[in-house]
Parts: sequence; structure tokens; C-alpha cells
Amino acid sequence: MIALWYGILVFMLTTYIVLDGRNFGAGILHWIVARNQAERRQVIAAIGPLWSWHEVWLVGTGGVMVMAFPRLMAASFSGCYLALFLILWCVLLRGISIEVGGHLSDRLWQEFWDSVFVFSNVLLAVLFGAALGNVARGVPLTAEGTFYLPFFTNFNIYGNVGLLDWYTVPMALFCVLILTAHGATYLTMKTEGAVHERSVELTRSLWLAVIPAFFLITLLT
Amino acid sequence: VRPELLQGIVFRPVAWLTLVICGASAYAILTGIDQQRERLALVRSSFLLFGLLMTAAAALFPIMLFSTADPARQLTATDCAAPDTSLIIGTAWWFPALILAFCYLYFLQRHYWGKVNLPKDNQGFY
Repeated sequence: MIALWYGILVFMLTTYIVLDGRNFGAGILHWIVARNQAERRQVIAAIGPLWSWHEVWLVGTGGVMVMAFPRLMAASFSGCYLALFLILWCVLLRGISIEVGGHLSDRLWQEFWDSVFVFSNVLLAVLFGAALGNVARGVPLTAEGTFYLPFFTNFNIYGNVGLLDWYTVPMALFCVLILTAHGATYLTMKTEGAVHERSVELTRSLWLAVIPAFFLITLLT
Repeated sequence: VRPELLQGIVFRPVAWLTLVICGASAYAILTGIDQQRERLALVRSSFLLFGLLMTAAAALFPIMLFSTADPARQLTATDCAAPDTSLIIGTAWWFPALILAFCYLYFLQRHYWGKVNLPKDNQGFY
């Protein structure tokens, strides 16, 4: 039964990363594939109807953790408080930037919210990558099964570690790279014209870049 | 950093399966893009991500949190799990809920399938 619920938890989280990961990637590429407001609207429209629905899988993952692994939930949510609040803020800012960016037909207003949109997507990919790195590396658990993670300590991977170190930073960058490639693949399917052409070019080069990066991460692990 | 992850892959057949999915997907993405089969490329890209995360999870099991302070303090799935009664009750509602969630996901994907339609897909944001 425990193995089944472990599988369910991983399945929920993986489904979220796969579905919302393409939105992260599209958001990261927002400025690169779309050079004017009309093209940027195309990127927003590609993720527009579905991004909030995909976040439900993340909420579902939290629900599964509360129900099936309450001790893990208690330890990890209090230990990663800082990172979790950053994730929450990025998710909020991403939603706000999509919703209010087009409310005023003012270039400065739209550029500002486009910047917020790109920045929040990059940071979300970095934080999820760093979280994955922390799961693989481990955290400074006390005898009571609790821990606290600051952003960084001495960049070492043993003892009193932080969220970022020489292993979790490459892992975060790898996560940004693979989610960007995933997002570019999604944009090739959803877009037309110049955005589509740029996405096709980027997709090929990004996936080719993922291969050596994957071997590097495997070697580090 | 964590050599036991690779040992976990070697000794768990589930991880072999997910690794095969990763390899096949990685090859298929590039050929899919070259052949302009973009939908298939996206499906394969999704399978690659799915395979990578599932391989990592299979290799980690049963440990849920490693300890950098003292290896004896690591949290396993058994340490963290709720009582069996809760898990059995949870199983009874989780599977119907998953079926509902996938039906809705299928409906949404069908509804918004294909290239973007700016007047239809902007949800009034622009």
C-alpha cells in the first residue's frame, strides 16, 4: 500500500511537471520567439486556456502528501519555507501577468508585465530544478526529522547545506534547459508564422543541448 | 553526490522500463521535429520528462528524504506514511477522482487542440 501511494505521489508530481512544464518553457522563450506584441499574444494564447488547470495537479500533489505522507509534508514544507513561498509568489505573478498585461494598451505597461511573466517562469523552473537537486542530495535532517534550508551556506553538499550548492545549481540549470526545450516543442505545435519558425529552430538546438547536459548531471549524481 | 541512485536504477526493473522510454523518446523527438510531426514530438517530449522523473523516483524508493547530517536520519516511505486504514480509504476515492481528472483533461486538450486561434483563446486578456 505504501509503495502504491509513493507511486501515486510521484505520478501526480510528474503529471504536473509534464503539463505545466511546457508553459514554463513557453514563458521562458516569450521574448526570444516573439518579437512584437502580436507575436507575444500568440504565445500567451498558446498557454492561456490551460495554465491554471495544470496547476490543479500541483494542488493535488500537496493533497496526496497530506493524506498519505503527513510526516514528509510537515518536514519538507517547514524546512523549505523560503523556497515554497518563492514558488507561490512566482505562480501568483505568472497568473497576474497573463491576466492584467493586456488590460491597458500601453507599451510600458505591457513590457513590464511581459518581464514579470518571463522572470516568474524562469524562477519557477530554477526552483523546481533546485528542489529536485535537494531531494537527490538530501537535507540536514535533525534527530526529530525536521530541517531548515537557507538559500545557501558554503556551497558544500555535506553537513549544514543550503538550497543552492555546486550540485543543485547545475541541476536547476538543467531543469531550465529541458523545460525550455519542452516548451519550444509545444510552441511548434501551437503557433504559426514567424513564432513557429523560431520555435522549430530552437527546439532542435535545445534538445541537442539537453543530451550533453543530461550526461553531465548523471556524472555529477 | 548520490551514487546509490544509479545502483537503484540497476536493481529495479521499473527503472529499466522508464529508461527505455527516455531513450526512445529522446530519439523520437528529434526525428519528429525533422519530419514536421509536431504533435508527436510534443507527446514524445512529455514521455521523456515523464520517464526521467519516474526513473529518478524508482531509483530513490523507499527513501523520501536523505540526510546530509547523518545517514541514519533519512526518512523512508514507511517512516512518513499515514496508517494503513487512511491509505485504503484514500485509494477508494483517488482512482475515481483520477478518472474524472483525466476525462476533463482530455476534454480540454480536444477543445484547444491545434494551432492557436487568437480571438477564441485569449480569454479576454487582450
